[in-house]
Amino acid sequence: MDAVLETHDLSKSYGSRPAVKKLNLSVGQGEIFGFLGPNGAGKTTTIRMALGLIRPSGGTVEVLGQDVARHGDRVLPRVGALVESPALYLYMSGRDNLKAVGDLLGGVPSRRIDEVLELVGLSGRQRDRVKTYSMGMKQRLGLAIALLHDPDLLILDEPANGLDPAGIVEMRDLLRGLAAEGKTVFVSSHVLAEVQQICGRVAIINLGELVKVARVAELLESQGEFVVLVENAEAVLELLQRQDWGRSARMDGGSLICSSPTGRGRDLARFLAGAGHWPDSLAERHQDLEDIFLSLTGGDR
Amino acid sequence: MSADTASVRSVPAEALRSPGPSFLGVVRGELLKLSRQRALWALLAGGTLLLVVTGLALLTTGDLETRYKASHESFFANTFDILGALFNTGSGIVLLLSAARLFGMEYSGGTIRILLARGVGRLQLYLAKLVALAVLGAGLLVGFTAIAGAMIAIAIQSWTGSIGGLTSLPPVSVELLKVILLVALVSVGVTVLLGSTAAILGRSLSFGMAVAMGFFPADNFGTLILFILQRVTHNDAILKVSAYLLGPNLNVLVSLLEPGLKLRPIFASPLVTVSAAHAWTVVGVYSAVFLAGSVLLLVRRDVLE
Repeated sequence: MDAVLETHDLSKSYGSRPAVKKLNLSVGQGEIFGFLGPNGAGKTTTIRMALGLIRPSGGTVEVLGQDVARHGDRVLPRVGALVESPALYLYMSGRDNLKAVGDLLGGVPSRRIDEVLELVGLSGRQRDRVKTYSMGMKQRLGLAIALLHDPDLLILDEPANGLDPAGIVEMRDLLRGLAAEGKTVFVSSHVLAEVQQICGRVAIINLGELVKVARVAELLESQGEFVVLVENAEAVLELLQRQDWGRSARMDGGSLICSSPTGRGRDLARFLAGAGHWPDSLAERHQDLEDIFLSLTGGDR
Repeated sequence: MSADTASVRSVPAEALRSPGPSFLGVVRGELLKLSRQRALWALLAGGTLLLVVTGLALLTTGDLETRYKASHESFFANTFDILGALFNTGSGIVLLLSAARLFGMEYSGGTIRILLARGVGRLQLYLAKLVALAVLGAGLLVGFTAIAGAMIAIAIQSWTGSIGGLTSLPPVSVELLKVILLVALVSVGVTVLLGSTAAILGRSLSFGMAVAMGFFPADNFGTLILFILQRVTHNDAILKVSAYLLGPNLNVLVSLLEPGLKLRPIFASPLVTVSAAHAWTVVGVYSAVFLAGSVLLLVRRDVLE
């Protein structure tokens, strides 16, 4: 898979405060890549460096194989971006906003403007001034601007902001459709459930440092733990923690989280039954992305 | 939103691919942004109305008719001088507001990141905005000249039954007109640079507008303060400061370039005698500082908006 977006030891400091530290990422063509991190982790700084808005203090960003700092004029026209809240000319109509951005690269056919407006569901309001738009409509227009030149790489920072549930579903489908066409989507989001549903891989960043890059499916794979509901849970916990294989047992709410002697659920059930603690229920434990994210970034629920 | 992007892209992908940003395209986009500003159109309509009313009031007084009949040269010298000062003031207000807005709104609205994230160079964007503002300035000059010329023609026609006096201007009046046009163009340029620098410096629409609109009044009013200070302190050196203020030097340029006509600037002028070369130098240095400052700030600063 060809890399569409790559960072090499990318760093940025503001004075003595490092915002991004030696970040190495590689995003392949056709991927929907999630970029996650708590507030202030360095996500937006990284995105801004990828778009040539901020100069790196060290390292490089390559987009479509070219260094953005040196060849931004060549590669950035092939990138569509939505950075933080959509930046729009509020006194102009939605259509004029698209025209103004289209002109930057020599203009786009009027038909294309119609298409992207249709795509984001703004055809009916295209002549209205943007200041009269709702937050969700502004977000849609921002997305239309990003899509205007049919970019190879789409960089979206919190694209679900302001969208209603139906809009979020539509956007999810849209991003999947784009990836199916071979476009690369780099999406930063706080809505981890969304990221879990649409992204193939994710990178997690914290305090400017890359903590983890992995396929979402790998992250969500069972860690061989089980959720057990049982009477006398405290006594069972003590019992389990005395076993070599059970030292990681713990309580989570009213449930007992523990491993199995063999990794199989029925052997755990047999052990508990043998000790006189018949479980009310026993199920394999699957973490969601939010759990993993919080454990990797040291956050609390 | 529709997921079926392939079916809605009827424009071939190649037609949407651009080898890079287009300078003319950026200029066109800036002109579009200017043309959609209702406040600008309101300002232009108000300015035109004011010009017509003021012009008619002046031209219908018997004094000007008498002066025209007595000496065409004297009439045109005074009329052109007044109109030149009116243009510089009126266009100055329009251009300062427009320049501060055209630059400042990109920072205040965060739209600068859309522009630069498409690969548009910072210098390219700056120059494109200057060109768009220069087009506006040229449009103002053409419009003003057309309206003022029409009013003078109507007045002369009503006084003499012919506009021959306007179509065959005395050579000295033609020379003066050239100088006034030159100074008007310089004034347009400096004003645009000032407005843009203010907005870039403050990275804000409101800061840009406040500084841009306050600069020339402060500059002109500054001569009065210097005059009062000199009276209080009896220190003549204070008066010399006025020789380095931008507004007064711009105001005095026409009279310095046409000394034979003994024109008196309508607005504040330096409190000491200055030469035309000095006034040009001061205007040139201010322009260079505005230009260099803007470019430096634009090119070196990260875009955090």
